Amino acid sequence: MKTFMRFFQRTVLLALLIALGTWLFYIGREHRVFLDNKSIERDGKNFRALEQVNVSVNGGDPIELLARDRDVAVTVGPKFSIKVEVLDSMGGDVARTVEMTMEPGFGKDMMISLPLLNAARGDFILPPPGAASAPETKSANP
Amino acid sequence: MNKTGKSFWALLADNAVPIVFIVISAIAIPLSGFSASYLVQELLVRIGRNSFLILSLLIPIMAGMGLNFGMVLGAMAGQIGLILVSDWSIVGIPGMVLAMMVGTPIAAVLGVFCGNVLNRAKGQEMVTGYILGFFINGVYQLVVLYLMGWVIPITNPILLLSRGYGIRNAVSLIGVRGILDNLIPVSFPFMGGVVRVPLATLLVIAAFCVFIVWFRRTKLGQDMRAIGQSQSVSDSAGIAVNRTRIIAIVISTVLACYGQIIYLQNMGTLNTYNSHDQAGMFSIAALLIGGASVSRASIANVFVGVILFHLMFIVAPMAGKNLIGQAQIGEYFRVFVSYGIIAIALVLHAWKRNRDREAARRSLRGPAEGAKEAA
Amino acid sequence: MIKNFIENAGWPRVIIGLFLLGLFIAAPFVGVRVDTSLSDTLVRFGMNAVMVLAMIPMVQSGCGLNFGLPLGIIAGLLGATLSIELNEKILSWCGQYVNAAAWGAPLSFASAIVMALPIAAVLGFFYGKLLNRVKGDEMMIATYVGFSSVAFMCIAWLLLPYHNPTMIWGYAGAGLRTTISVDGYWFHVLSDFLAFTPFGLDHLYVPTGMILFFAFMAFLVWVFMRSKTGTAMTAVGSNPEFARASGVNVDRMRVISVMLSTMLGAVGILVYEQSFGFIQLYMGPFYMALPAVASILLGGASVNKASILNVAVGTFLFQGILTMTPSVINSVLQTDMSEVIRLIVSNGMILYALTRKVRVKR
Repeated sequence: MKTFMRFFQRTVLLALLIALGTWLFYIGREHRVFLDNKSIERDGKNFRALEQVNVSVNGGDPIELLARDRDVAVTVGPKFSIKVEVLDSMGGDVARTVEMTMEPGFGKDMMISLPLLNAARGDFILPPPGAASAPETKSANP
Repeated sequence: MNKTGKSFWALLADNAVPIVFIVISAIAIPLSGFSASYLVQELLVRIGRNSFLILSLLIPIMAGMGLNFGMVLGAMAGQIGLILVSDWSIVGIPGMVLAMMVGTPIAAVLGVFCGNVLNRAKGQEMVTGYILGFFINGVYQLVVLYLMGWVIPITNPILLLSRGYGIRNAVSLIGVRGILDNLIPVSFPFMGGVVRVPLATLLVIAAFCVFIVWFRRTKLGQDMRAIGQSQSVSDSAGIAVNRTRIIAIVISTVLACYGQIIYLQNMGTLNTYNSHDQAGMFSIAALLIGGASVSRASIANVFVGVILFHLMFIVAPMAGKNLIGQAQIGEYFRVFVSYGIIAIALVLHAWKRNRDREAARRSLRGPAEGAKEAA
Repeated sequence: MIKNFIENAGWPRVIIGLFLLGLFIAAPFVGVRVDTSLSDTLVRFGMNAVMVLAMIPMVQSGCGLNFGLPLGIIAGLLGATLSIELNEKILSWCGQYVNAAAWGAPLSFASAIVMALPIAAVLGFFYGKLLNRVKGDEMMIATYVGFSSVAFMCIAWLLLPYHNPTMIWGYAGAGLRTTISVDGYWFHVLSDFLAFTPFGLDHLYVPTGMILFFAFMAFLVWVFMRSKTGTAMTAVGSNPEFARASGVNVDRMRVISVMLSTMLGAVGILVYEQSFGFIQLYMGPFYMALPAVASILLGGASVNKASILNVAVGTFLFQGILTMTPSVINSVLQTDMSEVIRLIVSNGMILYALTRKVRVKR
């Protein structure tokens, strides 16, 4: 009985440690969020690159992306908030604002296609560059 | 008058090493031309960086196993932890803690192996530990240079060599850089400059010191001290000598693993194949400079040692340059001093041990002779 | 009978011997020339054998493995650098007796030995006295004495007044270079002596001179160990109390053994340098004790007993592994594993020997 108790205690301790390790992994993971402002084709339709869009991740300084720009923001942790302000023309007024929270969780990097996001499409999340080549080769010249 | 005079000289002889160092530093500091605030800042940083590693040496000394040259094994375990955490892109405090958690089982296994090997080489622990460090270094290189990226999955291409497997020479630890040091930012102006204090690190070190003091009072700690005094007596008293020695080494190795992680989070870069080499050497040199011996070391020795050793480390190159015109001399000088100090400490220890043995033998030869010697 | 041989030779030795044989057999299949490899092995054998020989006196006298070999190496380095620095003076002095032009190289080499030996003897004397005070911990202290002296010499190499332009830094103008070429002085003076390529196989170069030199040194050691002093030394190593009771001065024997070991180390590094072609100063000698220690242990020696057979067998096996493993494995795996294998094999051997000690130390 005594050895069973010891074995049980040790297993519980080990389980706790693994849980702690997993939790640390979850909250400490650094993600690179690529912001892609390139024209992209979906369902046969061509979504043009936006003239100018300002993106603010986790309330940070807005990142300015002109047409065909790509930039990256780095976040730590399972969730992050993103605020996208689409301008009607370069240096113009804000035509549309999209705010949302994303949850990469255990995942690593991701890419957000801003034209697709602007069109309120659900599939605006792309695999990060270098991972899959298919989406890249399809983008037509704007 | 006679008594106080004798005890002054005895005090001087006992603490010869730190005193020599203070004298050397007193000469070298003005020669180097560094400002007081710079020195204080550098010292604080280095105390934070190195103390944990040096403290990990205390427990094997307590258990009579001499200087644990096998602490590089723990350093290597910590580095493997950091490599994996870098690959997984875990940053900040979670990254550092996770590296420690991953490194712990590796360090424990290496510690068990080291303890077993040392048990089989009783009487020659230090040389064996020293060679064991090289041996495991070879195994570590096998793992990190060949197996990682191949058998052990590494996904982050920044870490890998261009051939596709094997870790690069320098791994940037930008994710965990300064994470412990800057956790609680404290700074104060001092003599014309501003000094930043790595408070969180120092608190961790203080906690470790408390742990050591507490550990000495536990049954396990008492057993180790008994073994340190005399293995045969402890054995007859029913203490499992071999097992306790292994536990001492395991604890020391795991703590060295944490110490190396703390060291590297301050450095910010991991030299995959070199960082651990000097970990053992400099820690042992610092401890000895602080007045510790192979058979006796206290927490005070650790801090006195880290201050004196690093003081010399900082000022020697510039002092050499200003004195002779070549900074290179200062650098070689501090290497010479590091090794020389270990040599001197080992010689003093062995000499004293031999003298004690001779005295014991002589006292056995007969009461008349024994009394004559003791007088 | 085979079992007897294996027990006598010890499992690690047999395993490594078979491994080496395997490498030689596998070599032609992976595109590695056997004759080049054999020749490389022979050259490296000759280069290192004398330094391994230096281990014998101290092991036999009970001082343990000479991790302080760098001290002897430093004496040899001093001799070598002095021989280059004073080369002209030496040759002109010798020119009175022999034809300096023809005998230039051997004379320079001999002068290096002649200058290194007294330095080695003096260093060995003090080193031996030190070791006498620390009986029981010799190996550890030997290591650090070796390290400290190498570090000390680093400072010395920078400051000593050498003037020969091939040896000092061109731009800064002061201090010796890290590597100094012996080309033009005594490069290959032993190796090329009576060297030949058997059966017209161009790639199989046998450095006869160097091997003969080793045989000569080994013979000297063998004669010495059989002499009265030599046997006294062995007695001190195997049973110090008995030796003392027989009237042998234990401490003096130990000092002599250390002096001998240091002197052999000095000669050994000179043999190494004449084959290698360079004098390596500063941190060069730092780790040089370890291959010698590993070699003699590989040859079957223990911490307190070593013979010339151990030296020959061990050096050949060790250098063979060092030569063959990189070339064969590189061809097979397309990767350079030599450094890692060297670390694991040599230190593993030393570990094995250290943990095998069952004798109770005094």
